[in-house]
Amino acid sequence: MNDTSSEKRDIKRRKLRKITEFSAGIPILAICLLVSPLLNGFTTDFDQVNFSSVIFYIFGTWGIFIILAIFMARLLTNGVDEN
Amino acid sequence: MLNSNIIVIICLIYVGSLFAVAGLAERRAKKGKLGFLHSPLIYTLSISVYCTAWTFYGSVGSAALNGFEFLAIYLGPTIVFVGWWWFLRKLVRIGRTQRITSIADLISSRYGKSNTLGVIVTLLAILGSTPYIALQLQSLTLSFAVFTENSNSNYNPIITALFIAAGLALFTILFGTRNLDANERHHGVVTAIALEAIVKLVAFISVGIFVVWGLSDGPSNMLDIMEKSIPITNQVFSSRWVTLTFLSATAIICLPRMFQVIVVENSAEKHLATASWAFPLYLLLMCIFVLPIAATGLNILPEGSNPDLFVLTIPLAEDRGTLAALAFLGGFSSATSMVIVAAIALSTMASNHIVLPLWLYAVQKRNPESDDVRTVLLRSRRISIACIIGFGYLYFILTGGTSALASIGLIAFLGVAQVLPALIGALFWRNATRKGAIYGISTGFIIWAYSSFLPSFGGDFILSTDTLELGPLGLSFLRPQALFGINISDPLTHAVFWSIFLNTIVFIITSLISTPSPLERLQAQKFINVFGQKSNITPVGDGVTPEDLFILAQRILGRKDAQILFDKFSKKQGRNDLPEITFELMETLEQKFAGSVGAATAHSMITQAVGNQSITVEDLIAVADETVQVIEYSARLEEQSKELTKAAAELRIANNKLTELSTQKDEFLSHVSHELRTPMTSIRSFSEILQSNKKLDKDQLKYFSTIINDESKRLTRLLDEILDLSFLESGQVKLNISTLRLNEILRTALKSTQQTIANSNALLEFNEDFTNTEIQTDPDRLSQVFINLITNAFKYNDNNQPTLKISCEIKDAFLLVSFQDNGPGIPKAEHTIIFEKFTRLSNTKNTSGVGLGLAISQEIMKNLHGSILCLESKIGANFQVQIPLN
Repeated sequence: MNDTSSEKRDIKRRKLRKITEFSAGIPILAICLLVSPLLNGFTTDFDQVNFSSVIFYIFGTWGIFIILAIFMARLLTNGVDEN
Repeated sequence: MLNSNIIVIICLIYVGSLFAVAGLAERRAKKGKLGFLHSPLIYTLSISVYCTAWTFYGSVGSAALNGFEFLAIYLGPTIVFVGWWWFLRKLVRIGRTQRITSIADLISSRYGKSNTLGVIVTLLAILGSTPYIALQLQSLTLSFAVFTENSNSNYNPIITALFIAAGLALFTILFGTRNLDANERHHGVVTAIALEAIVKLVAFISVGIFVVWGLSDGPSNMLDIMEKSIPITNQVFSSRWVTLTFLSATAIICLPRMFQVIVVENSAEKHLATASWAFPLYLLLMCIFVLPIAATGLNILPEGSNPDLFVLTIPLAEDRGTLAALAFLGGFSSATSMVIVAAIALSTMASNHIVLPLWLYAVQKRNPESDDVRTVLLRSRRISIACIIGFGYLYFILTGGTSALASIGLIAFLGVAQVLPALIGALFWRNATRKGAIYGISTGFIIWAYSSFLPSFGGDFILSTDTLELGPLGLSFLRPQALFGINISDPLTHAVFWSIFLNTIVFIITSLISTPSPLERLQAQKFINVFGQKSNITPVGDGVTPEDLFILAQRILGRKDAQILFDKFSKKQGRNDLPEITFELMETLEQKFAGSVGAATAHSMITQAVGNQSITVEDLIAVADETVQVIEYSARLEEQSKELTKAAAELRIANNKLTELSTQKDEFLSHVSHELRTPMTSIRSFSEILQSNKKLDKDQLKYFSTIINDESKRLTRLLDEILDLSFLESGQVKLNISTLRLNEILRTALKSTQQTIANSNALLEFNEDFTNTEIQTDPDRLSQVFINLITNAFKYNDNNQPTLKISCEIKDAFLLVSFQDNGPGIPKAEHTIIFEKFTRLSNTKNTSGVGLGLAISQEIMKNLHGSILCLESKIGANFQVQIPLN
C-alpha cells in the first residue's frame, strides 16, 4: 500500500521535473529561433529577402510559442497544485 | 467632421469613465467583493501597460522607417513570459514573501537592505522614466495637433500637455495613494489600466482591419503592398535585432512600471501562468497590423507625413471620423496608462528611498515620537507623483518634442536595464554583494549617460557636438559613441554592449573580492531559496518594550491596524495587555512596515527601535547556506554511525548477558545435580544395604530407613525451594497482601524458629521500638524471610553464646528491620555474592544448607517492593530488611 503510493508520488515528481525541464527549453528555443544571429542564414543577402516568408516565419513561430505556452501553463500549474 | 472640441469632449468623457471604473473597483474591493478584479485576465491586461503610446504610434513609425525591426521590441517580452517558470515566478514569489514595493526595494532588500542602493536605483529609474513620460505627453499633444491642423483655433501644445499632465497627476494621486501599503493592490488603478488595455487593442485592431479589408483587397493584396512599400534597410536578424530583443526583454522586468504591475500588483502566482501565454498573445495582436498600417500610410498619404501618426492620419485622410476618434482614444489610453503606473511606481520608490529616510533623519534629531509617519508618507507619495509627472512635463518643454519617439524609448530602456546584472545576481548568485551591485550599477549608469543619454540631446546638453565627434579634450578613444576606438556602427548597440558588459564585469569582480555582511548573506539565502522556505528570521534585540513597538506600529500602520495586529499576538500568547516581543512579532512587524515604507527603511526602523544591529545566532546558522547543508548531512551521518555504535554496544552487552546466563544456567544445573546427587547417593546406598543384607537387626533397619526418609525429605525440600525460587524469579508468585503490624509477623517468625533458638542455647535481643508500625505486605512471605535470617544467624554461628539482636527503625518511607548476630560475619567482598543461588560462605564449616535461602529471601523482598542487604558490621553479620511503608 505504502510502496505503491510512494511510487505514485515518485512518478508524479518525475513528471513535474520533466515538465519544468521542458519549460526551460521553450525560452531557449525561442531565443534560438527568434533572436540568434545564426538565423541570418535565411536572410544573408537582403536583395533576396523574401518579405512574406520572413513575416510568416516570425509570426508563425510567435504563434507556436503562444500555443506551447498555453500547454505549459496548464501542465505546470496542475503539477504545482498536485505537489 | 471631427474637430478639436469634439476630441476634447470625447477625452473628458473617457477620462470621466476611467474615474468611474476606478472608483467602482475601489468600492467593490473595499467591500471584499473582488470577483473579476481578482482574475488572471485583469492581471494580464494590466501588464499590457508595456504597450505605451510608443507602441501605439511609434511602432508604425518604426515599421515605416526600418521594416521588421519593431518586432524585436515585442519578442523580448514574449521570450521572458514563455519562460516565466524560471524567472518571473521567482521574482513574483520573492516580491510576495518579502513584501517588495518596487524594483529599487527589491535590489536594496537583497543587498543587505541597503538604502544607498535603493537611492541609486530610484534615481536611475526616475532619470530613465522622465524622458519616457515626456514621450507620452509628446505623443498626446502630437495627436491633438492632428485634429487642430485644419481648424482656426489657437493650438498650444505646451498648454495641452500641461492640462494632460495635471489631469494624470490628479487621477494618480486619487487612485494611486489610497492604500499606504504599496503591497496592497491598487484595484482601482489596475482595473482602469485593464480597461485602457482593451481600448487600445480594439482601436489598433480596428484601424488594422480597416486598412487590410477597407483600403486594400484583403491580406494577399496587402502583402504585395507591404513588399513594395516597407523598406528593408538591414538584415532582419542583425546585431541591432539582438540588441533590441535583449533590451525589451530586460525592460519587461526592470522598468519600474512593469515591475509594479507584474510583481507588486500580482495577487496570485497562478495568474502569471495565464499571463505567460495571454500577454504574448496580446503583443502579437498589437503587432499583426503594424506593417499593414505602415505600408498603407506610406502608400496613400502624401510624402513627408509623420509615420508615427499613421494610425490617426489614415482614418482622417479617408474621412472616417469615428475610427479616427477611436484611434485617438487608443493612443490616449496607451499614454495615460503608462504615465499613471509609472508615476505610482516611481513615487513609491522616491518616497520610500529618498523622502522618508531624509525625514526620519531630520525627525530623529528633533523628536522621534511626535509625528505620524503615515501622513508624511502619504504626503510624500502625492508630492512625488506630482513631481515625477512635472519632470516629464519639464523635459517635454525643454526638448521641444523633437526626437523621434522610438529613440527616446530605447534610451530609457537601456537606462533601467543597468539594474539587470544586479537583479539576476540577486535571484541566482549567492556571492553577489552590495558593493558589487553598487559599483556595477554605477558603472553601467555612467556609461549609459555618457554614450547614450547625453548624446541623445545632440550636443545641446553637457556634451558638445565637438566632444561627440572627437571625444573629450580630443581624446578619440573616449568618443561617446565609439568607446575605446571600437567602431560599432549602431550607437544603440554600442551603448548596450559597453554599458551592460562593463556593468556585469564590475559587478562580478567587485562581488568576488568583497565580503558580504551577515545581513546580505541572510537576504541572499532568503531570495535564492525562496521556494521551499517558509519563515524568515529577523534580528531582534534586547531593551525594547512592547509599548515602544506599539507606538512605532501605530505611526506606520495606523492606529486601527496596529491595534488589530497586536491584539492578535496578545491573544495568541494568552495575554490581556500588549504581547511579549517574539521573533514572530518582530518579523511580522518588519514585513508589514516593509509593505509601506520599503525593506530598507522598515529594517532600519525596527533595528533603531530595538537598538541592536546585531544578527542572532539563528540567523548566522541560516546564513551558512551550503555549509549548513553539508553540516546537516555530516551530522546525520555522525548520528547514524553513533546509533550503529550504540546498537553494536547493546548487542555486545546482550551477548555477554546471554553468555553469562548460559554459564549461570550451567552452574545452576551442576549445583542442582550436585545437591540432588548427595541425598540420592545416600538413599541408593542405604536401600541397597537393606536389599542385599537380610540379616539386619531391628535397630539397624530403623537407622537405615530413617536416613532414607531424612534424605528423601531433604530432596523434597530442595526441590520445593528450587520451584519456589523459579516462581519468585519469574514474578508468577501470587502474594496475599494484608495490613498488619510488624511485630505480629516477627512473632510468627520467632515462634517458628523457637526450637532452633532453644537447641543452640542462643540469646535473642528484641528491641520493640517501631514494631507497632502497620505495614501492607504478604505476612507469610515476609515471615519466611525473617525465619531464614533468624535460622542463618544461629546455624552458622560458632560462638559459644550465639546472640541475635533484632531492631527496627523508620527511614525515608521504609521500615528497616536489622538482624545483627555475633557469628563469624561475612567478608565485605561476599556481601553481594551471598544472595546468589547455591552460594555458601567461604569461611563457614556448616554445609547443611543448599544455599538457596538468601536467594529466595531476596526474590521475596523484590516481589514485595522492598530489599534485603548485607551491611558492614564489626561483629558478626548484619542483615537489613527494607519494607516499604506504602
